[in-house]
Amino acid sequence: MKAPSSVPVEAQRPAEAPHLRMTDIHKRFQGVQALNGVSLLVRGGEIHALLGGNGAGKSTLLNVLSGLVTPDSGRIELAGQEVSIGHPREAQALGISTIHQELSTVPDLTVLENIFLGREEALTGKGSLFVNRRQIARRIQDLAGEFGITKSELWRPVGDFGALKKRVIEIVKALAVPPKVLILDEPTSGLEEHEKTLLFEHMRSLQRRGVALIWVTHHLDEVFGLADVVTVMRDGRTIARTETAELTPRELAVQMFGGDATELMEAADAVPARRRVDGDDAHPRLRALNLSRHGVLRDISFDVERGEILGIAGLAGAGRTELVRALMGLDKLHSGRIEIDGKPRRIGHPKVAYKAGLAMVPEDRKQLGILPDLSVAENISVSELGSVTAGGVLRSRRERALADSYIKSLGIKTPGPAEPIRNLSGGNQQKAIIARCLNTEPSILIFDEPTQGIDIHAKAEVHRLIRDVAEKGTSVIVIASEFAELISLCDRVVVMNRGALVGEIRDIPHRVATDGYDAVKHAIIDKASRADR
Amino acid sequence: MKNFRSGAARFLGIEGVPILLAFTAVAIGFALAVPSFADGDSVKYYLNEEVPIFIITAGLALVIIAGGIDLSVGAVLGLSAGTSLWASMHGFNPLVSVLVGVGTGLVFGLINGLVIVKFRLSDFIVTLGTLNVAAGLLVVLTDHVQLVGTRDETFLGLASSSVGGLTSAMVLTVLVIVALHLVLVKTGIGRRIRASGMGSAPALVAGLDVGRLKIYAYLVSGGLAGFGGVLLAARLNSVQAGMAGGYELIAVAAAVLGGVSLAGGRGGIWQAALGALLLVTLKQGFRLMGVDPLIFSIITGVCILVGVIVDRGARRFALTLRTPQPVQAPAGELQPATSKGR
Amino acid sequence: MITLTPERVSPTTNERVSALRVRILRDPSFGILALLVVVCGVMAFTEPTFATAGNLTNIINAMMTVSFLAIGMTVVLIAGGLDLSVGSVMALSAGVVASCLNNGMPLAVAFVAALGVGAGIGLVNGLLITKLGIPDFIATLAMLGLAGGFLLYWTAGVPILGYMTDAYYYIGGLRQIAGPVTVPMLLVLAVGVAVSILLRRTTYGVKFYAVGSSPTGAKNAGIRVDRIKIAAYVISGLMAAIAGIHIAGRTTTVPPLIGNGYEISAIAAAVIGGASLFGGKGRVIGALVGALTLTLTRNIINLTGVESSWQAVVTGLVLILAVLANQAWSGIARSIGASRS
Repeated sequence: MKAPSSVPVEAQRPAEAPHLRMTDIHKRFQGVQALNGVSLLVRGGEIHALLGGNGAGKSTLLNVLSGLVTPDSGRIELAGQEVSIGHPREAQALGISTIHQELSTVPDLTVLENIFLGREEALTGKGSLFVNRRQIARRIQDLAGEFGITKSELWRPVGDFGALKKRVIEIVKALAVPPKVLILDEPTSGLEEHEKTLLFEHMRSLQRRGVALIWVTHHLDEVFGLADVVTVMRDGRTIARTETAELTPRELAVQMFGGDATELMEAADAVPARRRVDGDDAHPRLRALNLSRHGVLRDISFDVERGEILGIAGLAGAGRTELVRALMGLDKLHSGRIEIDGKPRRIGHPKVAYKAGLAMVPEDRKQLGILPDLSVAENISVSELGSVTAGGVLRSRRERALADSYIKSLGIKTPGPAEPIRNLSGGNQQKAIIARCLNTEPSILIFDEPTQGIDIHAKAEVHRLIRDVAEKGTSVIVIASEFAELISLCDRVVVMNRGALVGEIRDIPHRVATDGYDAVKHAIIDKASRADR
Repeated sequence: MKNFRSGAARFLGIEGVPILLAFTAVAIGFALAVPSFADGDSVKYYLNEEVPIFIITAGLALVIIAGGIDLSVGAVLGLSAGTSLWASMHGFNPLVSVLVGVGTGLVFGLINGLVIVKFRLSDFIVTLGTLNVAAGLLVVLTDHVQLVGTRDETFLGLASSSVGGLTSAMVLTVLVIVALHLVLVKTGIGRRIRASGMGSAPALVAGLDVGRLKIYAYLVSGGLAGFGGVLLAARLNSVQAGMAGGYELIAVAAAVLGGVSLAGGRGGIWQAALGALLLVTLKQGFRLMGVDPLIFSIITGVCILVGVIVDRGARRFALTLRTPQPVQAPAGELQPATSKGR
Repeated sequence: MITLTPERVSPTTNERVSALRVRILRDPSFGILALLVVVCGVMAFTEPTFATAGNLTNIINAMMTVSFLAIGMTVVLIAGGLDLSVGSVMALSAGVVASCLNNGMPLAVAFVAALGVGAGIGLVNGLLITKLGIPDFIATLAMLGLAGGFLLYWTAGVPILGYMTDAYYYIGGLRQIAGPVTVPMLLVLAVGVAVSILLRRTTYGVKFYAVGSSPTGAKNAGIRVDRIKIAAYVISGLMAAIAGIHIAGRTTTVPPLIGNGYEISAIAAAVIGGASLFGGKGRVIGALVGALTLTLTRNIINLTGVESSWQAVVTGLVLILAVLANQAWSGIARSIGASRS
């Protein structure tokens, strides 16, 4: 396990010495062994995929490399020389550049300032005290232009832009000073297809110039098109280092999750198409009519039936999250009507939305989902405290019993209901948030990217949960960026593009193996990405 | 040994324990050093004098837990003392005088809350502004001289009647603290306030009326400052401009010493009250030891620093001793619940 | 593909103009300044004593102390901190100067000692906040008590007197060196320009904004966040010391409570000038506009014969209204910026 290498790669390409070698890295956080003897070997001119489930230790390993975390023990060699990286600054000086998973742009600085921040020396010349912004702008505007950042946008604060643009800015920043080692931590999340393609092209071009690329991704299909070598991590250890050419997707999944995982994935895939639960009167559960919000949503109308799972497809920035936020009363609607069970409802605040029978599992669990200092039980009960209070007074025994029942029925792994929720893993936090929504007994349950950042096991469980909920008659709305996820989960998918509904797809084949699958996928992509509207 | 250590850690990890230990140690220390320190009458006299601090600390702690800050509490307390005494001096009956004082506080609390929530302004700046406004209004009200002397014995009796060996002011203060504590930990609205203090974005998504909850907290804080002012006016029977100036800083210090986090969502009312108790104990103890009273602000400063550092140290200590199980999940099993390695 | 072309492509005039327009629109201190101009215009017509040279000089002289403090506070706020100790540090520095002079030391030594005290306290603030992780509010609140209490204890509550020298009168600003110009005016100008250049024109200055706006982003970009924060507090301490040197020369006595409440004025001035308690925003010119706003308010209250007891009330209201105006202004500016793109 210590120095795993399922293929003797060095024997095949003896001419090239490894550019980066990490050996036997250990790191312990407050009683948790995050890295337990990890080794990583990356050559110059190699795209090296780093894979593993949540909590496998990938991010910690990358943080060690980018200077954000100091390892307890272990050895890092760069071009044959041992180095120590105590701060991101030192990493940069060594030519290690990182595109972090969490957005790390600085909102109050302009795009230009963000790009040169921390790299003034490389962009303005050594030892220069004063910064000439215009000169730097000239140097980077072509690169920025390739990624769709116009010259005038360089001078605007990053805070003006959405998440998508911010990621693009980070990519430009990382490329502005050509690195020797480039770390990309899930760089494509939130990118549109053509931007992904562009990024991949840039990765290849850097590869040709001998840059060592370390690339973390959750998308196994991307790995096979692009990566030369795959290192798989699990539980803070490296499991295997294999050339991609000698690997099948199935083998890779086995490496990542152990023997039984693939069966689980297939089982999740094999759920038959569900019947819709028929209502007893003429009104749909939810009817949205002509919803509009200036600059974000344009004249959106749709229905959701009882027990139906409606998917909302679309590219990043199409307005999907904005639509459900408006439904929940988190953002204001400027016109339009919402009817629930035939009755018009005015939803100006999330509190009203919950009263009307809506509930939402939000995207970005860490920022919008969990209340970090509250316990699991308190997080579950918080949206419907009526279920655990009598006359406004909390009944702790009732609260505990409530939490226990959800912990059992949803399979939430926690030391106990009193555990602060921040100590749980991502998938279990997500289940607790789902429990919170279920506890409000919603008639319409919204999931915004329900499986983002959780591993395949938890993903399958969340999918099963969503199906169960719909089976019991609750209407479900699901937003997901992965089309495959939508297709396997939903009864019907509507497609959004630039704030408007542009299409609807019924009769969805639920198995990836089915013939119609690719056709449906392409129909969605085509509608979602058409620009000539 | 290991059991003892983890037991000790758990004990220290309980909210309020560090401050309780600190207070006990300080009290015992003074009692040994200065025999007169533990004298019942002097303790009673002294605590009675500091009643307003305890009351505004409780209100301020609630605001901080709700994710805000209220710097206006001291000035509002002074102004409310002025308005209630003014009312009493002008012949209003005691009930009306009390309502005037508490009402003054409520109005300021409401303004603070509404302006901060509706216009989304920085709570620090808004309450700094209302601090100035309230302090200025007291100057206007007192017209640069003291307000002195109501003859209304009932009004004066509010603070100084004897109830079971304690003054009525002390009893009322204890009631306020207990009530506020119960509201925070035992009621739905208290839970909602705590949750929304942790972060308004997730609280909103969870369906909490974050803005309204915050306004409630400011209302309570303002109303309590008003009530503290009434008690102060009733005890002193005189009010002058600048009274209770700087109390807000003592209250903030007390809350922080008690482990209330300025980040919101963390801490409790009685812990903050203990923080206030520690501060006033130190003040009294040093006074009895003959230390120059001029030095008191130095003591407060040192105390805040030491308190915060010790509190952090204790929390970290508790964390390191907890959950020492190594993560060694067998292959193929799910990730451990407490994984940090994302 | 990733070519860093050195060829010159200068932005079109149109682009430059619109960039400038956006920058002006985005700077809330322009809004406040516009408001001040209007107010002054009205005052000049309605109040004959307002637009006299004597009164205007008074206003400028009166805003010096707060200006120094506000510049320092702005730097701290930009870096995402808060310094409540500036009033106390100013008072302590004033005390240090006065007692040095009383002990027969030369003026330069006294000044250096005061600056040392200010920078030292700033350093301690910075270390407490970054190395021990104490919230800035708490650490500087404690320092407010410590520095103020130390001066009180040291002087036993008695004002320090009799330290004035002739040269000090100049520096304190009571003597005019050319027309209405005094040394503190030049000093504010010099300090303001220096700090402004530091913040806006050097590679170092951007880091203050970065650290205040997003500490994580700054750290990821390779900035030593702690050092920048410490530097901000040292600058603030230095500014407080300069303010102390100035005020000791101006008032000719140092009562131990001389600095009380100045932290509030400094924060108010910085915030009126567009600095944000959430970090990442603020400019030196804004701090000066803020100081001017506060001073003008006081001056107008005095001149118009409003009972001076209303002064604090008006100051409080001005603070809240100015912040409201700032917010409205930046909202408008953003919507204009957004509609342009």
